Amino acid sequence: MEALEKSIENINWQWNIIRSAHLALIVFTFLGLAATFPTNLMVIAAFGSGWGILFGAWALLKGDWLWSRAAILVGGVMLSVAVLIQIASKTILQALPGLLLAYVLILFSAEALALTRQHHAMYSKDEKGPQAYSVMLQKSIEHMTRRTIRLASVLGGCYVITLAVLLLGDMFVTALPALSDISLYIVAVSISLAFLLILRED
Amino acid sequence: MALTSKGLAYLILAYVFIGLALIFREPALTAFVIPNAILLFFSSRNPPNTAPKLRILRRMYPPRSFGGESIDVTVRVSNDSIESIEELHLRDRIPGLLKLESGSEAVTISMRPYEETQIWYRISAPKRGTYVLGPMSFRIKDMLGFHENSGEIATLDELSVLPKLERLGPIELRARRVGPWPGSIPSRKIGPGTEFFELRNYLPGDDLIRINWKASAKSGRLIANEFEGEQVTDVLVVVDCSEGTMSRLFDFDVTELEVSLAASLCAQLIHQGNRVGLSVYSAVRTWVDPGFGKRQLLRLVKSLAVVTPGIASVPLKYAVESVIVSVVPARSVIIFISPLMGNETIDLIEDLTAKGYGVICFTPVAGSKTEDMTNSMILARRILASERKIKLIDVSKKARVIEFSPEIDVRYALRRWRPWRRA
Repeated sequence: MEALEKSIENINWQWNIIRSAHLALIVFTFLGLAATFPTNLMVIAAFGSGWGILFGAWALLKGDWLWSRAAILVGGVMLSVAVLIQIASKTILQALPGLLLAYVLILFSAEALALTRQHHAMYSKDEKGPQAYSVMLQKSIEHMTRRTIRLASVLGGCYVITLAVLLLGDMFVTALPALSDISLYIVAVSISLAFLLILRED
Repeated sequence: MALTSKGLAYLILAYVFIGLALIFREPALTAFVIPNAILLFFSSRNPPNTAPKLRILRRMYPPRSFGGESIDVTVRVSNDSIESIEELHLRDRIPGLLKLESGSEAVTISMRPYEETQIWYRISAPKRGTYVLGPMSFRIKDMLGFHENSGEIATLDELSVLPKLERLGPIELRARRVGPWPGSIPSRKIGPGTEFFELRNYLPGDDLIRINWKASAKSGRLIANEFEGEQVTDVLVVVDCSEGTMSRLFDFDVTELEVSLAASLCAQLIHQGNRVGLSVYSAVRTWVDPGFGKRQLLRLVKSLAVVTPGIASVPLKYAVESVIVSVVPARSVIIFISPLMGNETIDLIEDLTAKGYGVICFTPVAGSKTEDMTNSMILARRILASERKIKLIDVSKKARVIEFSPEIDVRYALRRWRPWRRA
């Protein structure tokens, strides 16, 4: 019984570690978003980030989908504002890597919040079940860890590939000035991929 | 495999960025489409398993409960295929009447090929009845949740919460008809038993212990004691859970107490070697043919587990007479557990005693609580109680009446009753 309690305690500790990692990710996301704002609008960025982090932390604590949505919504609104500001100031191409990073981080945060919500019901401090329950919790931790790592690698890969495409676009523009607009390639590649996917579904 | 709503949302988001790029004439915005396109492409390259080979085995502890205790359910889940499952969401279906005490009936895990795991949850002390656990529903998603495959594993398990059995101790019955097997009911015939019956001459081969030395001394020859044989009888337990049990005349849950008493009586009578049958008269009629042994007891308590009070569809007299008279031999014992609220029940008991059946009637004690009642309700209740009292007096002339309530110990009431004193 003592070993079982120790095992569950250990699992709860791991669960808290994962949640802390997710919180760190949310903090990083909102800080990254704030960094995309011009310095004169930093107060708004800090205000938005504060709310976003607060909602995210609360969602992680309660495993609540409503607060998760609120955090994602704040992130989405902040990203939109940041993009619009960069479009208005004609500096979007320079800010694109930062904005893309913020976008990928928002996607990752949304996945992390959903993952925490999925598993939250199983973790309660006053619950002591038999060995079977400890096995369940262990599997849950395993799934969360595995999924977080895989999502990080896939989304990280996405970011790197996007940057590579942008870089290639720049190279093409330098080599062939006729193709001055890299968006042609981006649009063509993206739409082709999406269509390929839809055709595959059908 | 179609896209899930999440996958669709990612696709729409990609087109929103394209749309925005066109509206603002800002080609750089299309860069945001690339992550979405890569994710959708990645997801379509790694679709979830369309035909998962999942096997489940549900175990409950205790497998049969007598109420008042929590039930532990362990479900073993095995992935019997060579493909691993990236995201498997399992949910065991629990009837709405059951409450989860701890653990979780739903879990999201990933499973490797031929891996086995288990789900555990505890159901808080369910009420008497039969519940079906399952089927287990599953949802398999790819890593990003853009494609989904769902289904059910139709493994159903029955959880029986049987009525509480109380140890009543020996029940002394006197039946006019006994069966050929040894038991505990005096048969009014010579046979193996404990009660003295008559004297006879000692015969060679008789046990020396049977010699009555006093009688032998008086008569000058060896005299032996004969004992009254004790055999078994047929007993039918009739439980009346019709609308009468829901009357406000009683301060307690009559149905629960009737069912528990019936189960306890059945257990004790079976234990004493009798052939016991059951007839439940409620919204749904239940009938269990008389039988012996532990399996019969299980049949009886399982039938009692699902009893719910309600308005009966056929008259009690028809329900009982049409079945009982044709199945239960005359002069057997019929135990009637009824609130005795209608004249029909009294007539039936009279008819049964007239046909030679020995009838014992267990009836609940009328309540006396008057809280939350208006004066007219109290008056109505008193009139009803008086009418019932008269009925009880009528019944007690024909059959033995034993009153019960949560406060009355039925064991004590049974001890006080000595059937042979009436005979």
